[in-house]
Amino acid sequence: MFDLDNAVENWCNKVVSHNIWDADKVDELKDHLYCIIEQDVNSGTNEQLAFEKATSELGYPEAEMGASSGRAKIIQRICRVINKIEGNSSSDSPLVLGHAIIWASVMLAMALVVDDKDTNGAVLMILTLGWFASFMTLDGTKASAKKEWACLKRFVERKMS
Amino acid sequence: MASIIAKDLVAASATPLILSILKNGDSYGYEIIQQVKEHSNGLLEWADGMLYPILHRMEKNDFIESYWGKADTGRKRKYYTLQDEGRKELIKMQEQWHQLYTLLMSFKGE
Repeated sequence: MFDLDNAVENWCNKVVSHNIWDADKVDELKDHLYCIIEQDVNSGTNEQLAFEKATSELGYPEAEMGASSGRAKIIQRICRVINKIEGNSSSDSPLVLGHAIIWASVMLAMALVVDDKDTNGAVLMILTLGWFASFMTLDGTKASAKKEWACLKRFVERKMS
Repeated sequence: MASIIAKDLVAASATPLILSILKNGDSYGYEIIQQVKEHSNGLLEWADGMLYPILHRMEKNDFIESYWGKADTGRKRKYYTLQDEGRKELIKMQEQWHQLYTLLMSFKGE
């Protein structure tokens, strides 16, 4: 017989163990999950189906995967990054700023290290392409590149003022 | 016909919408999502993954405060309540959105 409380507890533990939610905030997630389940159960769905639908709706597939799954870790990392970007409407989020600083530092370092002008230009072009390509894992829009450039510019201006 | 709202607009409007909901009374995550869905006639369906980071950030900014209460079933439930800073921020944001809307509409007839 399906034990709903046990299923919810296990699922929430997996979500925490995959670092999708912090342990100190998991009670909030649990309540949210129960709310979705209760809404369905009140409409006549059985508890097991309601649980499966709710966990699928919440969209943490990595909680269903084994803890040792490399694919789970990659997806989890991407989801955390996407959640951080999409959940933060500030252009100067630490993630955006950090990403901008890392790439800017790499480009500057290459410009200083590589003596030959032609090689320098080619390396810079490759790094610029790499910078844009990295947005495919963060947010594949030109707007994000502009946002990041503006963020870096503001950071430098603040430091110089 | 209702059109899909752009992701950037959904994100930008989240904070003032949450502040507006909490202005009418304390609430919790799931209920906030349901209220937004109802008021928008299904146009805005927020995911929990979007809402909770915003709520936690708003709490860090002192716009709202959380406290633990009990649901009807006796389960622990986290409620959010609007703070004075949040009220001020709501007024500011409502004014900004109104100005943007007025500006946008002024170009509509051209």
